[in-house]
Amino acid sequence: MFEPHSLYITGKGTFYSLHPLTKLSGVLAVALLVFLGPGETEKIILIGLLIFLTAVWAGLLLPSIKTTIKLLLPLLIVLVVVQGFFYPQNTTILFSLGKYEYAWEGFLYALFVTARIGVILLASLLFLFSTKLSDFSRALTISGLSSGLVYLIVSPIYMLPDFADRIHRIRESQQSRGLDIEGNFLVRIKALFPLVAPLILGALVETESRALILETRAFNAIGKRSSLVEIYLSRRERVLQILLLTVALILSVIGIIERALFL
Amino acid sequence: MSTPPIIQLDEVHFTYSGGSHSALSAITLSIQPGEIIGIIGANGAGKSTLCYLLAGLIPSFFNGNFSGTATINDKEIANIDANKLPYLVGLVLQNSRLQLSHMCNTVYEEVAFGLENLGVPREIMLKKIDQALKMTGISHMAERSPYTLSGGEQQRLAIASILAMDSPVLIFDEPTSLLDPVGRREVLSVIMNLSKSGHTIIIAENHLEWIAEYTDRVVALEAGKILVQGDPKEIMSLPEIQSSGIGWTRFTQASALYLEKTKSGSPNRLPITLEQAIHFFQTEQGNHGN
Repeated sequence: MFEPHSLYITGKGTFYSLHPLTKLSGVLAVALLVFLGPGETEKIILIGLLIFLTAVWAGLLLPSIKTTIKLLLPLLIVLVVVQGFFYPQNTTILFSLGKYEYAWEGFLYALFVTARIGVILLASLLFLFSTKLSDFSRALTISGLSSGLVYLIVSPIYMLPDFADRIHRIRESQQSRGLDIEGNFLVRIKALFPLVAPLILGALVETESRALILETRAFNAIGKRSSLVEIYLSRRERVLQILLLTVALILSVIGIIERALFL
Repeated sequence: MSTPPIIQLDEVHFTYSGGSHSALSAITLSIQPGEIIGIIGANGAGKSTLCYLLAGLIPSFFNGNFSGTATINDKEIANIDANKLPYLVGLVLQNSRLQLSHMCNTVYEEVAFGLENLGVPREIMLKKIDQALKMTGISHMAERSPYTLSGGEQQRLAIASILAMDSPVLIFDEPTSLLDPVGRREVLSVIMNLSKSGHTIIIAENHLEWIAEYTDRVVALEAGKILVQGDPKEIMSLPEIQSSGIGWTRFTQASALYLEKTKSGSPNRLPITLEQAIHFFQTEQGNHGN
């Protein structure tokens, strides 16, 4: 049986005890600054350093770095190859492969793009590793987001194992009926429909039962909801959330103006 | 003075939107508090639709043509609002995995889900959860992920989730049909214990021996209509139960076959339960011995 893909790593400390929405505000601020904030390489280094220190503070340095490398390594390899050969501003040639030339500028650009994604990924992982999904959904509900919207955000993550389980069963059933799913590209493409169709139809059929169950569990009840876990948002943290997002927004605007002026 | 019924259905007809025939036809049923009602019927007889109706989901959740009167505690089901319905009636379906909210990490949180939606204060919530987990025998699994439980355990979790909301009427729509024998035994044992605690239980179930043994009354459905209803020990060996596609219990079938083979034409009523079957064959052996 497949289990939900919860990334939460048990731990404690000040970072863990931060309100889920404070951590989410931090991730949003990082994403905004990385893409829109003023500066280029120096900005990435500075934000990266800050996140690195936060990871040390949270006690999550090793798992977050390991996961980031695992996820980014394939992307880095592809970018280093593609940009090195085909980056439009390539001038400093490092070596040639036949008629193709590999350049320093493309290599640097590949590193820069990967670092940008890496910094955001690292920040997101810190959030995911230190926040229980159920606490996150409670925090969203308490913050006033409609329960339907929260369900739409959170439930797919919990349903992924169900889907994985079903894909596994469909594949085995179809293989037992003689469906060939291992072979060249064409064979695999042919096998796609008999695998995907039952998955989608099954999911549609189950939607009614899921809705039925939510109905019987008072999901559509009107009025204030309560919470099993007390998720307290202090005044200080509320200020921190506003500050993070406001500073990120202001710097993003500055960054946009700066780029517009220098282009 | 007799106790007023907790559920009353009068001449209920229901046709699903786009359906060509009635899913329920002229259903008149009165259920007393604390009763255990078994609903039996072949596939498509209307068992699930009747469960949905009793759970207050028709006509609000399922669109269609509804006529007649359906009340719980003297209140018209269609007029009960979403906040109050879970306090009156709870529903457990057959697929245990589909009944998870997909919003919770642990068994404990899963039971809390409905209570949180109802805005129950935390202190009261904790007591209700502990009680529901205890009644379903899954207290020791409180911190486990609901996704790691077996089918039977997940089904007990589904029962705990509705029990926590204090519903006096519990409806089970084939709760054991997808379970292995161990899971089936666990779930049926929990349901039996609940009946002892005063809950009104309505169960659609294909395990006819269990229905015969433990329910106070059986409602047999055929094509959306009530074929026959009454004491299971009296009606479950009727020929119309066999001919409607519901079938007899193994004990009834064996006894009927025995009578047919021996052509003894015994006046004994056909047995339904194991105990009755033992008595039946002892009597038959005695008759043949004489």
